[in-house]
Amino acid sequence: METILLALELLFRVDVMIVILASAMFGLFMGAIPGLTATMATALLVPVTFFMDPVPAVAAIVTSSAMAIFAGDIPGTLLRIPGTPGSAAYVDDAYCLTQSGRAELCLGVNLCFSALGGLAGALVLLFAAPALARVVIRFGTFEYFWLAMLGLTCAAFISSSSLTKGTFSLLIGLLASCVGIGATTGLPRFTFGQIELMGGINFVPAMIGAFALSELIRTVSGGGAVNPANLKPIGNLFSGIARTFAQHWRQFLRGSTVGTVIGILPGAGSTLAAWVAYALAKQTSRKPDLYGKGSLEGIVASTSANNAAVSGAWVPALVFGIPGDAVTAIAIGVLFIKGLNPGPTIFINNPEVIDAVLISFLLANLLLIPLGFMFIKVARHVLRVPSGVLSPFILILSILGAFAINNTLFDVGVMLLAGVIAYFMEENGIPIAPAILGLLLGTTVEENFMTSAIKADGNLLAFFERPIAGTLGVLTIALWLSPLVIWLARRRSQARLRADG
Amino acid sequence: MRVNNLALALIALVLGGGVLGVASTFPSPRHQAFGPALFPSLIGLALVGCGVVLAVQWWLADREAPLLSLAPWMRSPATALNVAMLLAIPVFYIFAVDRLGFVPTAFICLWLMLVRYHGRPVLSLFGAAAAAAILQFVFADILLVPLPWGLLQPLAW
Repeated sequence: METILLALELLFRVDVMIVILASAMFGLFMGAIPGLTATMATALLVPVTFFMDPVPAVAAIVTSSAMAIFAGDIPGTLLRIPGTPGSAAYVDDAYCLTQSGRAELCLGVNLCFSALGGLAGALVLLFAAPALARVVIRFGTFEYFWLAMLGLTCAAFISSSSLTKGTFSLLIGLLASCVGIGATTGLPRFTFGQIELMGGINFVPAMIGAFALSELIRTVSGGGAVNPANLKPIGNLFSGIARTFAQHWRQFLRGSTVGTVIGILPGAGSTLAAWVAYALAKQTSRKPDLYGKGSLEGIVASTSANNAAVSGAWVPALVFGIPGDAVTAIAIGVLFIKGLNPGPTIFINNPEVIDAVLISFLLANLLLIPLGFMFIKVARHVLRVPSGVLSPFILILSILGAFAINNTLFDVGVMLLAGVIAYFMEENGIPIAPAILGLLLGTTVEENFMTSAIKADGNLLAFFERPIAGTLGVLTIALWLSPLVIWLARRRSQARLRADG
Repeated sequence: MRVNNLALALIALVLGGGVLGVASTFPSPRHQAFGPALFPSLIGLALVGCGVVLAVQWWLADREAPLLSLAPWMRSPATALNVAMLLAIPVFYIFAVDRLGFVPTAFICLWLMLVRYHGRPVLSLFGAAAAAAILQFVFADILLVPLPWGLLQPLAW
């Protein structure tokens, strides 16, 4: 109880509230502009968070990402251009509703169910994270190694339709994490005599490049044009919401659950959560024909899911130090900078800070309703800001953000290179998320692997001797082998079909 | 710019081979079985494996695709110039900021981009100047990022 009071004291301060409100407005703006994503918003926030205390720094990230994911629904509904990838799953339904004169109902549903989905995810985080942390505190290097491997494997397998490309991306990230002074040996690797590379590739400039610069390349090359013609004023948003909830509460519960669970899986963020929830809702619907043509229940399920995933992604980030999505990957970097090493010990060493962070989730999702309401009212003006005006400012902010982490121009070069590589990767169907997770977790994996191998004196069976480590190890290896097993099973069934005639 | 799976396989193989080659030059510790080369070598091997799988995938299903196909924007000089400018601006910033100072460099970068992406050169002039000054104030004075004054040192506040 005392910890919670301390947490409330840390959170409900005037300066923290100002930070939360400012980051909420920033998140709403970034999410509403097509081409600017929640991840980009978080990446651009990082240099500003360097100069904050831990609680406002993390609360700013939590608030801006929750707001941005919701705000992506606004241009999706009004213009049929999803503001963030998380809103793409149901953009056709939302736009159909707008065309049939029900834009207010659709935006109201987006707003209320985004907030409810986010709250559902936050409640899971509030109760599951501390309970999990009590178990994880007993983990040693063997368990951590397998856990990180399992997380990275999930990221590589889930984030792309091509498993090979997901793995390729992960390996690029892991390789980048090897640059610099070696984790356990203290010897420089892949530095090629460059002093700037001795400290390794800094995560923040790489992240800003991968998510902000690559998106800017797409925008200026003609992929992000917005034409906000004939946007009408928005009327009453809340009429019909109670009836929608009474009709579709099952879809809301299902969407929130799917969103939270998918959010917890490393590498699978709110975009995947929205698509899976939408597909599941369609599969279980009595009116599947309506999907894609203005289905309100499809919107309820997926808009709840993408906001629930935002909170869910923080479970592995806080408990294991393994990010659930790109936003939490950045947040982990911020936590490290603030001296709060994510992992189970954070719940013991800094309980009041963690409680304040968890409460900030509830606060952010509650604030979503009034702030989102106000933002929708002015959205038609915001949507008129041309991308040609925004892009130059985003690039300069990206350069400043990359520079500010170490005050070195070398990091601006890292940002540029990461942006170009990320653009090339995405153009060729190679997902960025596994590479980012690889860069972030590479050192953890190597440190735990080397320490475990030295402890076991080279006996690889020791990696499976402890019960939890053994279970995680078997699970990870089963995942590695699963594509081969599936391929063999498919071949066998095809051969049987051919034999049957 | 799209490439087919064979090109991606070649990239993975060259990268993996390069990593294995460089890792083999790392010194081995005397009293320890595992040295700094172990983890990078495993990554190198996995990259080679990835390259082989991508090559097989190309052989089985992707042989019709061209090795390299240019994105539509690369064929249009106007959009190609947009992207070239976006990539040139950080390079210009890296080389110019210490000599010119943050405000002049940011002003030049912003003005060039605003004119190119939005037009209205005169209005952009004011927008770029105001933004450069505001950014200097926010980042240097409030967030204490050491941005160089360069040519404007006599005017530093």
